[in-house]
Amino acid sequence: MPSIAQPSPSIQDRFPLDQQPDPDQLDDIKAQLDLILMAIEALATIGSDAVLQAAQDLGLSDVVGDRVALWRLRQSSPLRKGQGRKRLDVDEARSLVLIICHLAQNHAELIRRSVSLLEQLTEQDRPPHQAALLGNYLDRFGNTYEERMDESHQISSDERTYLALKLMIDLLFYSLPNGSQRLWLALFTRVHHP
Amino acid sequence: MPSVLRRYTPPTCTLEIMAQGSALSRWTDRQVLKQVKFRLHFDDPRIPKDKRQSISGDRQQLEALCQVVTDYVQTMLYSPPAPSSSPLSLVKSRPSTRQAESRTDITITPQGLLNHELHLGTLATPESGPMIALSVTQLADLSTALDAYQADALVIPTLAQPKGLGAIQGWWQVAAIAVFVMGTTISAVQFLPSQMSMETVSESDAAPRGDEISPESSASAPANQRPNRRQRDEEEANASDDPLTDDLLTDDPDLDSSPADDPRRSEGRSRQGAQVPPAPTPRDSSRDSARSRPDQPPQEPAIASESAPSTLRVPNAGQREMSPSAEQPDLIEPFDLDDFSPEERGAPRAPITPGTAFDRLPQVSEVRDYFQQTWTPPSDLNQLLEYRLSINSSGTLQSVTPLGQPSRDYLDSTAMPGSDQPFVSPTPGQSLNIRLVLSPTGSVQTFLEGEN
Repeated sequence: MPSIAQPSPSIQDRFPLDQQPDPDQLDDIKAQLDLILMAIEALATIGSDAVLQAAQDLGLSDVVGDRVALWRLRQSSPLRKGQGRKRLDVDEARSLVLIICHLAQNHAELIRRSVSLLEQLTEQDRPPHQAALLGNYLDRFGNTYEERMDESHQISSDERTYLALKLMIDLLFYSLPNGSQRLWLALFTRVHHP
Repeated sequence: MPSVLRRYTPPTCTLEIMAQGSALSRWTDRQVLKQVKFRLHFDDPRIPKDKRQSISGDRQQLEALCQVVTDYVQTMLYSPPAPSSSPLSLVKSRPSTRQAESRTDITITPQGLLNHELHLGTLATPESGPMIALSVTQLADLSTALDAYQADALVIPTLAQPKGLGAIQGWWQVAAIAVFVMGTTISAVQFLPSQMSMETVSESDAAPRGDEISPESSASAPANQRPNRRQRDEEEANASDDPLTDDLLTDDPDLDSSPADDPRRSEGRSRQGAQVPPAPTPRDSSRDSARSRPDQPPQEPAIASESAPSTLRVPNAGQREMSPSAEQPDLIEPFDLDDFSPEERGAPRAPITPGTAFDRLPQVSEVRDYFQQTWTPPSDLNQLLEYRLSINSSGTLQSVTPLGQPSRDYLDSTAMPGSDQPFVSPTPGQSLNIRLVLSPTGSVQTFLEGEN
């Protein structure tokens, strides 16, 4: 019999991870994935071409092969405008996780620089908009959110700013070497701790 | 005299792992290394030297710190954003309910999105005080260093085991790595993240810290990559009083460049050497029948070749897209079906390759297959069970680490194979750590945690 070690409890002990979410839970995951993708797009000023390229780099073209497929995946977010929403399966969610973290790692320096800048400005009690890098990001994210999300899910400008900054900080951790596992676990933990 | 075996140096902290005595001399006669210690320096160059803090402790405290930081970061990431009451309270908006605790009384409490307090518990000293304030970038670096340590430690089964014979074997591997690193003068190993340098040095290494990074390591970094130790020291010497330099407040020229620029140029650069997660591997055949190309073979994991044993790899200089000038813009534009060509609009869904995201080695799916056949959840089980399986190069199960009390309680129900029983296919000279998750519903998940 193999030896048995006695480690300290893991996060999964306190936050059980269900690997088989139901469709409603997957919708929530999809909304979050769409927001994170929107954040990295706004921060790094990239678009669908970069996302598709990342999918190709990762060998995920079967899941996200063209703009139609990508649009369908992102349109599945319950926050989005539009009809014809599809459900998101686990493979598609997983692919988006890998793509997001691939993009985050490619832009890791930019993300870190942005978070460091936010730290400095906050320490000096200055608003984030004063830095062009952050101001442009916040404007792009806010405009995109306003443009793409359904009327019933619109939030105030301050809330959009907070959301954008929270997502930017999250991206810092997703850009780390084990970012994809962090994101994957966070998504499924969110389901059980809304 | 203690000898530093490993050192992890992300930009704002340094984690040193040490063992007492001369490790290299002891391996030959199989003496036991009994004392494993660590030192952690919070040496953010943005902080004045006289205000930088250091802590140290033993292996148990280090493991506890790893657990606390990992749990805290994960909890932070899953926390829903945008509290409606104080949307811009970046400094002190969060309740202190999200704490991670351990028997060492080490905890972290949030002070808003950007600041966090590491309460040292048993790690506290009169010099350090009871608490260390961390910025979020410091927290990310601390997490990176600890993750890297864990990734290395996980391939050494004995690090998670009680002291004893297993410890000899585990630290033999540490020493083997140390010998190999010194022999080749390469300062980074396979598990080394590109943002961080890790060194393995002998006890005779008494060089000042500013000289510790090897030339190879520095030379491999992009010119404007996050500063390494030497660069940071230089920056400290030149640091101005105002940490927020003017150029940070000016417009990033790249953000204003023409959208007509080809975005693929920067992507092409950034792809070079990027760590590409593997394509999923087959898991089941019950896929959407409407999807096209069902007979396309699943792709082999793109990074399968990186798993050669004892491979040392210097981070690729092109691994990160560091240069502001490399940021080629691409307009964020909403698009709809009308933007697409008829061919694109009518394009059928491509087939989805089954498997899990982290099936980079066949042994991961083989472990899953094994337990999918054998796992029968007890009727009174109502939560997930998790185990860390250490699999040696012959493909047999070397050790099982239950994660949490329930997992220990139900260990007998899991039908773990014996250590002399064939389990998975032999690995190419490497040992693996695989996380096994068994659910009360009968489902089985596996994730690769580390390889060596």
